[in-house]
Amino acid sequence: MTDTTADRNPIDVLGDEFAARLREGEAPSIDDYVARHPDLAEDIRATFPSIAMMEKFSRKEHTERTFERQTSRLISDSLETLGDFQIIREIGRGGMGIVYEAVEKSLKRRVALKVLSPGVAGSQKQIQRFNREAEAAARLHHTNIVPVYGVGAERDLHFFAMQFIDGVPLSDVIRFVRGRPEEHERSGPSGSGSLADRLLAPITNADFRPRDQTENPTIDSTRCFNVEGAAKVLLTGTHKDRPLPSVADSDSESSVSSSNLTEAIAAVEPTLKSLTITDDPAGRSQLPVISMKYWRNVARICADVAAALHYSHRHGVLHRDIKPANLLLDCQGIVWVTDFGLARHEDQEGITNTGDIVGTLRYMAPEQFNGESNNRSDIYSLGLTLYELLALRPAFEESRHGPLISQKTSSMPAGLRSINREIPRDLETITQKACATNPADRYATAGELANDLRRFLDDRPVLARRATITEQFIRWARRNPVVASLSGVTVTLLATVAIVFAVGQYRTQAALDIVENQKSELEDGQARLDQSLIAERNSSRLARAEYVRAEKNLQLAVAAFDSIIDNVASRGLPQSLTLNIGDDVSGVEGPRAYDTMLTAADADLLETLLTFFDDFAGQNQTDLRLQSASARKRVGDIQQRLGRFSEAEATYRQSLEAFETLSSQKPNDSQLIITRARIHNEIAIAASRRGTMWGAVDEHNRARSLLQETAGVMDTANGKLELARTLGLLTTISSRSGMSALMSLTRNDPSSGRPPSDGRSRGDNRRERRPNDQPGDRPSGNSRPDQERSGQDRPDGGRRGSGPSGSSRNGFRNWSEMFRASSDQSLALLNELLEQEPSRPDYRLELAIAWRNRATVARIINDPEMGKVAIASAIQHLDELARDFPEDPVYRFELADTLCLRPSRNPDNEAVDEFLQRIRRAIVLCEDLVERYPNVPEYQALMGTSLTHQATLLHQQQNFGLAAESFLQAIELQQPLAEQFATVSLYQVAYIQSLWGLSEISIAQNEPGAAIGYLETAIDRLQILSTSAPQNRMLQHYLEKLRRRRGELARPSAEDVPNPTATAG
Amino acid sequence: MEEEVIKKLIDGGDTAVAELFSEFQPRLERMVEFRLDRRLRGRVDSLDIIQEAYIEIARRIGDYTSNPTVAFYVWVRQITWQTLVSVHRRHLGQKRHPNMEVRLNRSNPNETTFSIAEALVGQLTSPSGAARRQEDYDLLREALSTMDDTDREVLALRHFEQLGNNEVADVLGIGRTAASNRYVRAIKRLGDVLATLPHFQERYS
Repeated sequence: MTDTTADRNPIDVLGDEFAARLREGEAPSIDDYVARHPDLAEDIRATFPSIAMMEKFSRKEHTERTFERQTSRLISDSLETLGDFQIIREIGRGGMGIVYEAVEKSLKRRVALKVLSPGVAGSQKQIQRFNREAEAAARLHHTNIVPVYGVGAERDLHFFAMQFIDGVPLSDVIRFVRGRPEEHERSGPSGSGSLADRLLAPITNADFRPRDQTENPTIDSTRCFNVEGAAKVLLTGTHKDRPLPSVADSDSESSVSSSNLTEAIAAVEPTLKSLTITDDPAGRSQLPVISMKYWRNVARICADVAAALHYSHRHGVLHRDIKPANLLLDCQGIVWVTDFGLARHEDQEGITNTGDIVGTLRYMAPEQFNGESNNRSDIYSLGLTLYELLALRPAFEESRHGPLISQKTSSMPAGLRSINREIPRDLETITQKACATNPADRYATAGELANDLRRFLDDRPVLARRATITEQFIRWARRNPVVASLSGVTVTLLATVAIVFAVGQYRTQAALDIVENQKSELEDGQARLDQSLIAERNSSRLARAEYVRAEKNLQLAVAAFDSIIDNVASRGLPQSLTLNIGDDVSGVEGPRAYDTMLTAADADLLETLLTFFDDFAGQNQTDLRLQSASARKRVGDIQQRLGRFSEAEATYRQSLEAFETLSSQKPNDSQLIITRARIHNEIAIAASRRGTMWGAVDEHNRARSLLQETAGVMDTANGKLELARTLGLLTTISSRSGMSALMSLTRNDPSSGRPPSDGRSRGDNRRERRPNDQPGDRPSGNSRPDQERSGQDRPDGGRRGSGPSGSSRNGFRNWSEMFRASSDQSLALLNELLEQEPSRPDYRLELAIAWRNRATVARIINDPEMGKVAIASAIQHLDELARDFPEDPVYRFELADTLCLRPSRNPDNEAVDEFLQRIRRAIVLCEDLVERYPNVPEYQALMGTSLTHQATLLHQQQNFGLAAESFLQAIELQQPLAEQFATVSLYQVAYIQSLWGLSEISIAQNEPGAAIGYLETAIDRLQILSTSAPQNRMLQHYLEKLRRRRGELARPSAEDVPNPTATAG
Repeated sequence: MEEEVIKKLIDGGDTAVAELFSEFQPRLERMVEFRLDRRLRGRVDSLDIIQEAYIEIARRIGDYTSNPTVAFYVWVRQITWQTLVSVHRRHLGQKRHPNMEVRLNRSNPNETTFSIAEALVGQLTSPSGAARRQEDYDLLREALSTMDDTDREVLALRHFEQLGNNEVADVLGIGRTAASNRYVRAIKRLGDVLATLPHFQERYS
């Protein structure tokens, strides 16, 4: 060691000195050496860093070995007794010490005894920590926390006693279920016995090692449980509710009381038997497959763990080392949280050095890397445990520590369902939320996690869904072929907006939750008042900051959503004259989402978003209130489209209220007035669809009054456009929805398919006829909103009252006059707009629709000439639009819909032929639309309607074969729609109509059996529909009609169909 | 100096051997700890090995004093090494041989002894710091494993067993100048490998 230097490399000599100084704990500077030996500078720089590294490494290895040796030395003094405890055997060891199974002699109970390593115990800090651990754990009394009995010291050994749990750590269960038996088989020829032996008891830290079996062959024969049993419990067990002894019970008896033990043995006995038989590895194939039972059991045990954590958190104790190895599953399927050994008592902050690392890296929350632990860190660790139980592999498989840490801080684990499709989606959602990278995105309390897991177990919707709005939004976007039809940039923008928005919104909510929780804790008068106050202040600040961000995101999101909804809405509904060409969208250039389908989920999604909109709106931000009100209207639009008319109406009214408030603050904002008018019109549409026609008329009239009577509105183009729309809607009110068809049915139905003997042609008024179109009728319901006359089908009208209240305002003698004048005014307004901006396609479309409405008016007031001109004009305008915008399906859709319009009440043969030609053209157009946009229900519906029209005409022409074929084609389209959109009565009615039509044709073809079959299907359908809308007298009436028909068919004289007009009066 | 040692051993008998041996003990323990197979840790105590080695040394001390070809420590270390080899054979079979395996095979990643050990000796400030260091160790292991056996052994003897140059020369049976040059060359090669590691220079210079 006292080497001479003469025969040595000078770098070696310097390096030796350098290394020696490092060993002494000095921090010699390489630069000093370079300065002292400039001639060797290069060599010094090339070698010294490596020397430093070798020394550091050496010291580290040495430290570890020393530490391990100290730990292992503990066992070489084979412990037999310790205080009142008789040691039975060692069951595990970890970084802090060794766990023994022991018997507490005075109480004769079996305990697990955790003994702190003498080497470790040498440190005062460790003893403090150890005692604190025991104290903290001893205060916890929970059915899923391993109870701690007491703490003691003897012969310089510090120890504490806890309940002995006859269980298996979940880490072993996971390994076993995943199918790696070799790890267990290694434990020797004693097989499951030694395996059980090693798996039985709580293990401290990850560094668990079994004792050498040859040295310690102690195997307790009373052991009932092993890892395979545990795995089976998880895979097949149906958990009995809490069979656990109470805390008092377990105090008086040994750990698992003997009776429980017997039960437990009985419970797993079959398992054990099968085990002994299937000792060979092949026997493993008998392990049950993973099924829903497993997922549910996993959810259940994690819910119990979460509840236990919630309990301990409320007592100020963090676990800080939740991982599968610290969760024991006993033979009754009960999970036990053990090893609060690293728990830091929150009120003793000072004692635990915050820099200490505790817990296991793999399950540690990202914030714990910086020495920060809180209850959400435990939630995170439990989330990863849940993940591993479901995926059967660790959430983060990286084993190198650096990459593991950076992965954890920057990314979420892979989606569970991408690992196994069978994993229930809700569990995936819950797991994602529990182990969100950002603590604020996690469950605020372990109790919330427990509750959500229980919601899953009860098949109730889980709350975590809220956190995955991003995902929903993306899914929504993906489902909607917006993605396919929009440019990549637009899609990206949309997705970004969605994500940014959802994140911001969620953070805000999380921040609000924190405030809320802190408040409730304060109210409870719980301890840690100061901490709560500080946290609340921080949370409030965070919440405010998030509001600002969310505000901006919100506006972006609403705009994005708007553009999609507008594109969808602009498609219109078949048989609907509603057109929703937006005020703003018209000016927007760019691709449209032609192929988007809205579903109930979309409405739900938007409704969820709305909750937050309202929160923001409550912050007295005028702009946001506008956004919120607009967004609410959008929800109404979707609900409307989905046939949820009552909901739509309610939503529209809320939106309207919001707009009215805004309007009162800005009385001169004509756009607000226009929007209000528009909402009135939407409410009217919803009302008319529900069959409350007079309420609808009122709403249209309100819209009209608003537009006409508010100064300045009619000077704007949008005002004029909306008024034109309003007038169009008002005049065609009876023709929207399936109602008009129903109304006409009451006097003209498919059963009258034969040429009528009374000279009236078939179906002339079945589609668009308004019931109260007698000249004596009064056009307004303003004065009598209570008089819903929707069910009116008597030709004599029968409306009471002397005069239309609307007439005093509008000065019309009767409906006919009002309709004609309204139509004139509508056309005039649109022509005026087009004069200003002749190329605006939305104006042109609205004009075409005004012409189409005029055709309806013509039929109502029975003016065939007017009708002929109107239809021709509408078709001409739409033809031009379709020609000018060949890529836009909206115009072809409207064209097809217009082509299906009946010419007049009493068309002559020529008119019928012409109509048939138009229908055929409509069918061709629809075929193309359906082919190009197979997902759009409206196109399929319109095609179905066209086919029904064709079938009806063919029926009238006695062409039964072709008519039947046409009906069948229609049904092929209508049936799936009716099933998919159970609430959209339009689709239901169209389907029912075709069934009835087919039934009538079957009669004509002398197939009464088939006829009855079709009719009964129709009746069943209608019954369901009318039950869902009991207030709709039209449907009731329709149902009666069909039933009557059914009765007639049952009779032998069924072929002699009575004149249906008789029933209609 | 070695002559004095030998004289003392001859004159002092067992007491002298025991005295000298206990002087060596920390370094011997170090050697055993570093060379002991990971699988034997917890089962075999390094003190047991050293004790066994001592018995052998006491038995064969006459052979050494009659013909001291190497320094006493080198001889003691050699006996201890042989004891270690026989312990390995006993527990792990004929082919097992103590070497640097422990250090060259990364520790089981599922066991995080690093954090506990380091936390307990108070060297650690943060888990991420620990992880970074662990990373470095892993890379160092890798770097070492790419070097040839003699280079690696020289570095192990110098840094892990903390032998001096002359002792290394004796253990390896080469000249002192050769041993010195060998060491410098090895450390330079290691430096070359380590230089490719990011931030190595700034962290250890």
